[in-house]
Amino acid sequence: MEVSSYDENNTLIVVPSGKLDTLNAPEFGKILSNLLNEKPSACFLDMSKVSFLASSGLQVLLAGAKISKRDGINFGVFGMDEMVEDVFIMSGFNNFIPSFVSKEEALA
Amino acid sequence: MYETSKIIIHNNLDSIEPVVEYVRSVANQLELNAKEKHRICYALEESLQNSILNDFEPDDLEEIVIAVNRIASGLQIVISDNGIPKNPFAKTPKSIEEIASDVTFESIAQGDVDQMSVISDFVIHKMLDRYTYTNKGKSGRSVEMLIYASNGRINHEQDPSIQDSLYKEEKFSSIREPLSSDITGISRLFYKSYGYSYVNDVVYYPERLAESLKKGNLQSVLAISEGEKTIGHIALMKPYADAKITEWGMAISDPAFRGQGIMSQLIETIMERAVDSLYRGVFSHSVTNHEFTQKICKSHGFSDVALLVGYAGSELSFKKITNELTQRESTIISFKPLDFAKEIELFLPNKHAEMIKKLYSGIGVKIIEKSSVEKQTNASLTELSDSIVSAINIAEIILNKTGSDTLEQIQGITKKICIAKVDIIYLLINLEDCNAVELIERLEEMGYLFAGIFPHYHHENTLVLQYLNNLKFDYNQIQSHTPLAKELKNYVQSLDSNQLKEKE
Repeated sequence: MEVSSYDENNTLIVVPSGKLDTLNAPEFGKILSNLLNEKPSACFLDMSKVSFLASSGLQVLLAGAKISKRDGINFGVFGMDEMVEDVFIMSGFNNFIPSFVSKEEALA
Repeated sequence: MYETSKIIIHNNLDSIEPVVEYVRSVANQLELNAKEKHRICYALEESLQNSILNDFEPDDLEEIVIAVNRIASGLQIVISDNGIPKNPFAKTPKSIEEIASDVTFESIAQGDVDQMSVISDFVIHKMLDRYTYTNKGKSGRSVEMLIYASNGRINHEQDPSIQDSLYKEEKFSSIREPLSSDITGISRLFYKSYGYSYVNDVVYYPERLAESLKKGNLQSVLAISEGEKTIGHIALMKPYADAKITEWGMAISDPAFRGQGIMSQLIETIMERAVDSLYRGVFSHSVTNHEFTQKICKSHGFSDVALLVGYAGSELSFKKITNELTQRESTIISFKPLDFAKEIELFLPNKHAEMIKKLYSGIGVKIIEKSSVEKQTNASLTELSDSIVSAINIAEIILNKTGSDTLEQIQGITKKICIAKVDIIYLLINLEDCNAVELIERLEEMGYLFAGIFPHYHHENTLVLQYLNNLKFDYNQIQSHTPLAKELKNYVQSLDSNQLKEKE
């Protein structure tokens, strides 16, 4: 999987792409952890290029949300496709991590 | 039409994608919608990947067998392998918040297998209609995944008032077995009375209903109107595939035909069928928010054997009747032996020996207590299976064989089920297994409560223990009809240290 990031309106946008599964989640976790250590004021994950969100991927999102809460970083996700969102919602993670349809909605 | 297939792969990650694609192609042939296809494929991929990465020794080449079975209105996948059994000591959180409290980037980087396993179970359980893990001892382990097609459901009913006006001149005509043309009528009858809240959701899937009737898992009897409409239903149901006992229930009559004696005729007919059958016994889950079913059971020679606290969900409701239950509905198991020994030798836990003897006495069986001298040492491996019934959010753990690690395994499974927010767990103990009986006191310390006996339910002589997952019950709301049922209720209540008191 590949991960890129950029800054927009003082918000860190992180863009993972490919499968966020048991193989890739630890590496993605390291990258996200390093990015959050720089204490951006807000961080949103653009999930539009994630094709599979395994439970290990969900763990990374949870860890990110937890660190962000501790450090006062506004954290969330946006752009999930219908099937990835289905996993996110069915498992109840949407009660813990704010989710938005689009980047515009997330940044509003 | 696709029926079944079996795929054998090695514990190699490259094998996962072709398997998932194959299952997707099978799902395409069935009536699963896009989300259902995605969910079963997701669960398969998630389960296989975690299993291959974490549950085998790195250099071992092992086979994983994946059975892909079409079932009525759905798809079942059974994965069997010789991977490492799940760790019963794994720390198991009970909510997303608790999961979050344990998750850190460090634990993810370290690949905490136990944490990964419990969260994976949590997620997969949410995606499927049934997800069962079975530890088969020396024969390995298996995982069953099942999803039903929602578009196999009946279509929404017409406005009942229109239907009722069509029926109003009709009268009840006869009792008979269902024809294939009656199937949709049965589904509509349940929908008309219960909406989509009926406990046994097979009634909402005509194809599944037809399959159950064809296989003999369900033996229905119908009340038919003069115009050949299905206006009443009752059935004998096999609680599981190779059961030696049958349950009577699914009793319903069309409100538009009330006052014509339909229900009493249906009950008489089904009781005759039960007595004439080859089953060893017939039972009923008699609800306790009223005493009607308990009275019927008593009048037909049943005796009460167990109180399953909170067996059914509180959302069970009749359409247009706004008396929603304030707590999960408890059921009394009423049992009638049809072919049973008059005297049985069993191991009994001292604490409950008197009550167990009373319950057996109610069904005409005298218990001879086996002495501890006859008990044997135990060096075998634990064999147990667990399953979750999503429709009513309960779980069953069947202890098939005890071993040195039985308590730890039950503790681990109990925690796993609690994470999945299942409300009640029923643990089935074999009273002919002295080692299992000896564990009862420890299981009670773990939080399990005595529920009663359940003859021929998975074991010939089963003791049922129940675990109430952070639920409090007001026992005053549980109505018991017979003196034995009242005594059993008081007995269970006296053991429940977490009950809802009147003042609360």
